[in-house]
Amino acid sequence: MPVDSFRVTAPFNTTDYRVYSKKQNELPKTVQKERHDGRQSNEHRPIVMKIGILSQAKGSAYVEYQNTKVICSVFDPREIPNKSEYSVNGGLYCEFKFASFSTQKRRGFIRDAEEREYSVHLRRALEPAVIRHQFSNFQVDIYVLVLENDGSCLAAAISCANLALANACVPMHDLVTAVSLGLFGEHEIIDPTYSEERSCLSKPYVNQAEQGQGIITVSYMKIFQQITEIVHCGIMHSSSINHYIEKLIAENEKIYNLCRQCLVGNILVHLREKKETEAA
Amino acid sequence: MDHYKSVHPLKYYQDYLIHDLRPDGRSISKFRNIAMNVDSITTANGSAVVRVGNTCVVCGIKAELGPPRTEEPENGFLLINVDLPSLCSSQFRPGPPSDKAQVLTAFVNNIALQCGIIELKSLCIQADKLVWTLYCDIICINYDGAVADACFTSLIGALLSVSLPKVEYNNETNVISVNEETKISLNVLCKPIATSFAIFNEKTILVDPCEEEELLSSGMFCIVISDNELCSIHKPGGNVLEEEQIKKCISKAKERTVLIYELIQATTFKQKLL
Repeated sequence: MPVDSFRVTAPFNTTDYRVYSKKQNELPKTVQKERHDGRQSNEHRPIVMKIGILSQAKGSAYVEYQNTKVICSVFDPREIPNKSEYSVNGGLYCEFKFASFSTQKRRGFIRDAEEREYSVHLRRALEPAVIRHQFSNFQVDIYVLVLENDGSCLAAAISCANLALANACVPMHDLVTAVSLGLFGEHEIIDPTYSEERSCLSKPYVNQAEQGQGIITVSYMKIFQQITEIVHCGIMHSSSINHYIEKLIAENEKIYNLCRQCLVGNILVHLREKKETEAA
Repeated sequence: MDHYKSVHPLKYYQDYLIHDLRPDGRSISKFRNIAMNVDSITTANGSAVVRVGNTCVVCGIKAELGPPRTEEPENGFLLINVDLPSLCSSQFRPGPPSDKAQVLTAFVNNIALQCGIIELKSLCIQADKLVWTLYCDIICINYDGAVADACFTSLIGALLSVSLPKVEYNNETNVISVNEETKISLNVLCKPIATSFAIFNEKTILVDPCEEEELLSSGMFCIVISDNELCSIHKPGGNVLEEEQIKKCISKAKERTVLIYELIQATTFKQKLL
């Protein structure tokens, strides 16, 4: 374990008490048709989206899928540090972080491999949508903090970061949205929760070659009808990928409408406020 | 007006302060509104979100089991970390914690442990074998001044909302059994609350400063009050102050602490009703 001299740490290793729990948090080995929160297999959780909530950031957004809570802030472009040659395209610097109390097992403050991986996915999902040549040699900082992870946090983070970028008036071609799909045998579940994600990733399901197991996250731009990033882990049959992606695109279009509604609503509020102050 | 502000920020402020006003519309001695929400994060054992004006802070507490120190076999651990991520303000860059974060962490830890915010012995399950370790992580979401106030309020709120499962330790077999059905809450013995002031110049002391005011001031100071008693005065640098001024600030801090206690009580009570 690396020693962290910047923070207050425990002198010994500690363990999560749930390990010793009488009520074993046994994961369901299979995903049933009836989901544990009573949703249909193609039903997304209710979404809360808010923008412009942080005063210190240029743009900010908060996205909530029931217990999955993600906050994102975007700052003014600054010169790319430690770079000697000129770069025509500006950069996006993405930092994806889980709060230490956001998951069942406590997370450290130092970024781990999973967080670094998500940071890369986030950057690659957003980069095609941003008009980067308009801020050559500069980078826009995007920070995402997961306050609570109850599944589909990468999808929530991409949608959230996209809203924050739009709120920060960063020039963009289109809005990027993302949705996750959990696969477990014949079940295809949109927007899996944390326990569903765990069962989808639990053990490869190789009995039936036509059915897969795993999680797919697709980020999509609706107007361009282009996919910016696909993240898949697990196995699936190569012929079924088109079916999954079509399903995810249909779901992405719903979220796109929500994002647009949220952004337009915010502008209308600002216009009304401006009118009121001018009248006064 | 905006140009005047960016070219002569100090003069801009002085013009306001002559009239006992601040650019955000408050008078010099007026506090910002505080809002609080308790137990909103289900993965944590206890949590609180506190907003002081635009400043926003989240405190989450995770409890884990571990062995105690040999010198203090009955004491559990209360580990408080204040994190000021680059998310909260453009003055923090990604990487290891800034000096500000480390100073704030040390400040909150010192006061929490010296005041005896909770009895560390009450975290003991079996002496010399097993104790609770409470990781209290305070993450700043929006840094707009007076973060210490928000940190203490959120810490107290989160500690009050903590529920721990009942743990039994069998001395002979060394088996640990956890019963998650029975919930134990913590006994919070004292509730230190910080109040921040900014020393603008020798005569003017700004109450509950925002970030801009903090940067323009010659120094900050912080008064920590617990149950009408003075816990700490922290004044790193800044102009010289007279005794009379500090006394005035202490009485202001006392008044505000009473209000924050009411807020904490109301929020935690409301949460219990739900």
